[in-house]
Amino acid sequence: MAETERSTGRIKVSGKVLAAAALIACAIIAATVFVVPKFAGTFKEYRALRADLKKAQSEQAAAEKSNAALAQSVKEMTRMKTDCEKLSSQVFELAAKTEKDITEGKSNKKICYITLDDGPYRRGQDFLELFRKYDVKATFFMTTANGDMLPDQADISASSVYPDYLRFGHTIGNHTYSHDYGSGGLYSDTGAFMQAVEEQQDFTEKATGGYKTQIVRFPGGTGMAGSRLGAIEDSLREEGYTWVDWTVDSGDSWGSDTANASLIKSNVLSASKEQDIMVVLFHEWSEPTLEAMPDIIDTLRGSGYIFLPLFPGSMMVSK
Amino acid sequence: MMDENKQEIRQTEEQENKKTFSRDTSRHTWIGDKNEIRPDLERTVTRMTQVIAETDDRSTRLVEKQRKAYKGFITDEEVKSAEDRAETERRKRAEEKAARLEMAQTRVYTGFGSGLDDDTSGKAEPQKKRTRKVYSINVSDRKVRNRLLAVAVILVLMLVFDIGYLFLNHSVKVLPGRTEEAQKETAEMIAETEELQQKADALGDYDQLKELRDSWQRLKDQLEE
Repeated sequence: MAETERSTGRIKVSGKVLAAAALIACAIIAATVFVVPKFAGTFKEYRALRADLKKAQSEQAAAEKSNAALAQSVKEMTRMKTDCEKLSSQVFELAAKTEKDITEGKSNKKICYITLDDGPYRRGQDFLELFRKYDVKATFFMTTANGDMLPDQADISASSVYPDYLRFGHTIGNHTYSHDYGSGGLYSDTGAFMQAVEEQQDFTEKATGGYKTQIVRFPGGTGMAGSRLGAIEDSLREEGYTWVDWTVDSGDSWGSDTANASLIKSNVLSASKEQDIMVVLFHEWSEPTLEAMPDIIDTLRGSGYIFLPLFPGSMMVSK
Repeated sequence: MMDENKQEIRQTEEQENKKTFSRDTSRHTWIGDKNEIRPDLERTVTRMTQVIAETDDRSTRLVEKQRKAYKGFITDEEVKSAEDRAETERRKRAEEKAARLEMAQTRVYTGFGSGLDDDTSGKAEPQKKRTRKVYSINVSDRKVRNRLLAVAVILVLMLVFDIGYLFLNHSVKVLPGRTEEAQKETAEMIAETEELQQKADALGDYDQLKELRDSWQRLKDQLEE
């Protein structure tokens, strides 16, 4: 090929090698001549595409970061949700045992089930906040008799507030869709009652994303069912529902002229002296109830009551 | 006596000179009388030339004429001197021949565009073996070396430029795909994020959930007391 003669300082190159080198040089020159006019345009295009790619990559990185943070948060929240479900289940088991111990005189604990009927109302949010503040869990028996919107705030749909009740660990009960206990209403026919229960269940399920109302409260109480009570109870049992009345009437629905905070408080506290396990009837729309509730909670808690939401396994719930 | 001897020698030489001798050659045809002496090829063969003729590789065949011994006219010193001269001459011819052969096979490359022309005189002969052409570059010459370096650097730069263009061209073709892929992945990720956000919304507020868990735990503790 090519060799260097050190002594003479000459490089001997064969003709073929020289021709090949010349050919390569010509090729490089030709390529350069071809490339030069196109280079600037290609480079500009390259820069634009590169900028697009960098932008897309930075968006991707941001989305990834956000996704990872959110996924972590969801994972943590899911874990906490599972913990809540597990703990609530344990609480209900313990509550059922405690109820039994109380009735058998083996425990000096007291249990109070606060129930609020006829929701949802805008005032329900105030109750939720109050219960949150006092670390109390209650049971809300919901109806859709007031329409799709909140009766005390027409710009808020009733279904939109349902999840709030569950968020704070309260129980949502079924107070029938129509709440019509007049003549020709719910109690005129077992089917009518069950239809109202199912409609309310459907509404609750849609509003909460699948929550099953397991406990029914008869509008006006089971006494309103009269002679059809047995049939209705059978139907409820067949459909997997339980039902509950109350053991203490707070009196908040006795009429605007008589119902006031002190009366409500008095009714509840006087009843508590005789009952270690009580289911207290309140109404969500009642302003005096909201007013009386802090004192009631403080007093009952001071008396050793534990506030629990109703659960199907409770002995206070009929099955 | 001396005169007689001289006479005899002269007669002998004359007699010998009358005899003709010629050279046989494959390259030339003598068209004259074959007995006639060709002056261009006539060489007097002496003892000295006889020694040279043994190593002479030219196509000429020497025909030695009958020699007659000299009778004391050439001394040994003269013979040795003649032999030395002939040897010197032979070596000189051998060197010249070697130089001619090298010239025939080698092109001397003295720089850019100034190589020696080929010796085309022998190309007409088909029997002649084709020689390999070798170019010699004098790198000890600074001017030549600098030129070579300059050309090499320029060619390398041009090559780098061309390769850079190839890279750019390739990137221009590839980048849109990569961008599209990144955008697609981003869209997928955003969709996933939205899904996660919905899940998170359904689960509720993180602090509230934590508070709820703690609340259940407190209830449990109360019931367990």
